[in-house]
Amino acid sequence: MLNNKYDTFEISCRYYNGINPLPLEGVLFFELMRVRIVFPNTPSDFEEFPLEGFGYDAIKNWRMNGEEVTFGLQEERPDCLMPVFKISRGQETEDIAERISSGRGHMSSLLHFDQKWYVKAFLLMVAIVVSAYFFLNSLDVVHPLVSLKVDSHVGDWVDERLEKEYQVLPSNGINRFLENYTKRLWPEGSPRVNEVKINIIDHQMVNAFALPNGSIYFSRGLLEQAQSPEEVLGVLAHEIAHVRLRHSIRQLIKSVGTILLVRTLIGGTIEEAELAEGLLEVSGGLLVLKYSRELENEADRMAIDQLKDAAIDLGGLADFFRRQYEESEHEKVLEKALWLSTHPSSLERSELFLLEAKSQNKVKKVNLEAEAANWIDFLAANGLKSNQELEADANVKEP
Amino acid sequence: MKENPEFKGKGGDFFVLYLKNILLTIVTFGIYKFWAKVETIKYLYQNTSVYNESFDYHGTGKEAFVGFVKGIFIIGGLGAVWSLINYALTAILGESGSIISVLLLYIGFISAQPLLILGSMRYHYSRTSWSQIRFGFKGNTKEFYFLFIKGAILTGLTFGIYAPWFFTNLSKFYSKSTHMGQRNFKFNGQGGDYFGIFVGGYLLTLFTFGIYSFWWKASMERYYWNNLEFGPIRFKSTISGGQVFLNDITVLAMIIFSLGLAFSWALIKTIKLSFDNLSLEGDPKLEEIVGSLDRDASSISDGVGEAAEALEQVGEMFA
Repeated sequence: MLNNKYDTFEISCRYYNGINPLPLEGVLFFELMRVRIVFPNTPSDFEEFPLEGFGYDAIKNWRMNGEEVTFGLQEERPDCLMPVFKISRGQETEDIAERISSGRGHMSSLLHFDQKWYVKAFLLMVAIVVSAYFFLNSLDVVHPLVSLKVDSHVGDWVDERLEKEYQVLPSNGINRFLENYTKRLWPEGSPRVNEVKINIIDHQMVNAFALPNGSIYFSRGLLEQAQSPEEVLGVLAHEIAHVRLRHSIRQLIKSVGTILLVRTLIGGTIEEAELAEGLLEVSGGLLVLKYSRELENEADRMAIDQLKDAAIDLGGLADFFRRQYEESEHEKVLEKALWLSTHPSSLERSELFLLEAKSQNKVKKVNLEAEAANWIDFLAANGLKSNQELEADANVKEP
Repeated sequence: MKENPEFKGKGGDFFVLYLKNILLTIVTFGIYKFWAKVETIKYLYQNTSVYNESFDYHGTGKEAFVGFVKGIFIIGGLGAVWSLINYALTAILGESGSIISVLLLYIGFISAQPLLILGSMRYHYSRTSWSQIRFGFKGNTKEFYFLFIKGAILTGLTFGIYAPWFFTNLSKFYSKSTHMGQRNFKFNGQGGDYFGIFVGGYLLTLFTFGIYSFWWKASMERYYWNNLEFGPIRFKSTISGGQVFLNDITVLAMIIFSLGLAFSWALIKTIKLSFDNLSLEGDPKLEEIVGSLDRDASSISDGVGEAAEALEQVGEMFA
């Protein structure tokens, strides 16, 4: 509310011309329609501004700063010396500010609401939490804007490095077997299905992973540890789901976005907040890990659908995860601190697949290709040894 | 004639500004960051006053953003040129060509530093004012390169012993190059004096398991201010190690127990400590100062620095 709608406010002012550091002392008369200036000791040739006065629309950069109000008669430019007036802040300046805004027909700023600092802080914190939530969720839906070519380039780049780092075994019957099943597990005729390439790394770790360009890597250790072709096909279905759902690119977007968000929230726009850097890395990392587990679950759900459609026994994957859990001490430790893991618990995953396998019993499962029906023989035919054979070899060598 | 500068900033207001900056940075997908930095500097400057007149900052977010965009293009262009050189040298000389091109990259990077520092200071001072009189920075590039290279080499060769002389020479250079109106600053410190503070502080900090570091920090701050002049004005700092110790411990406790939320109050408290212990002595003869403006100062150096930092952060994310 304007208290003194028709009043003239007489306020002492200081005028700074940007050349002389000592300001000119004067009086500003804020009349109803215009502002007049009187400088008692003004030289007669003083022509820096209209002494006859100016309208409220001529007032620019009205800025309340602590106990002072500053304004000029030109739009502020960083590369110009800008003469300004300074007056003391008070009730009159609030009324004048309202006169200036109503003259322009708009609010000066949405964020300049007149409240105590803690009310503003509370409202801003609520707004930050809401925007951060929407920002994080928006990261999940932007990947369609990224061309599939990016997936291919990123994948090719990693492919090159992997091939330098690890020995990739020459393509054999196992590669062909898995590539044939890729077409059954990704049946919609997507052109990307032809981009899938199966690679076997000569390493004893038990692992498989997919690159965004469709390269799927199985380690020799995983193939040797598997007890049946269904286990390996279950893993294949899971990796295909990662490719189809573009998890690598989504993970990349989410990681970058999350780190930027956390950096903004903690480091903000103040360079002095270096103390928070450690906290930043930990909190950002935990959010990224949570997302990684969500993507693994998503790939599991798609793998279940794919395996059911292809009539491949889901019990294979249930056995695979159960064994992973039982044979790995690492898994048991991680289960107690899952928030530190990139993957969900193997035990939980095993139970999920087992449950789905039971419902699958009602349908007739497809016969696997004859050559791979006995996995241990199939491994031997392709130059690999089963886990049992490896253990037997180790026992023979022991004195 | 003695004058005490004053800092009127309040933790609550600064915290609100910080939150507003965060909110706008998130909703603009990071672009507001440049405006946010400017708003932060403005708040700190506008709340600092001496002789009853406040400082101000006239840079804008738009300038900073444009500088950043130009910086990205400059770094991108230089990166492309380097890639070509790397490709050619590797093709001609093999692995040693690749090593040479990496060395060239490092040399280029180090050589660009003085230029970026000077450009950044020139821009920053040209946008800073007190009583609406702009500051300015006219550092001689050749002189700075000479100082920089000589200082870096001698500090390296003497295993750090030359560092106090390097510091005082840089302070002298920065001070004499900084002006407000036509009046320059002057730093009278001598490397030998600073050497005593430097070595004494280092050894005592070592022997007291870090406790003396607060007293060392205070003595370095006093040394800097007590050797600075601006025309007839002399600065004097009386900050003590005990004050720094008490402040730093309090500030650390505030930040830890508030889970970081009290950092605005912590920062304001630290700034106030320095100002409360600083005074200006001598007749300022302000009427003799005539303001001027460096119209050629540009935000490109700052932008290149920002762009390099942004690229480094992206690199860290993918590392």
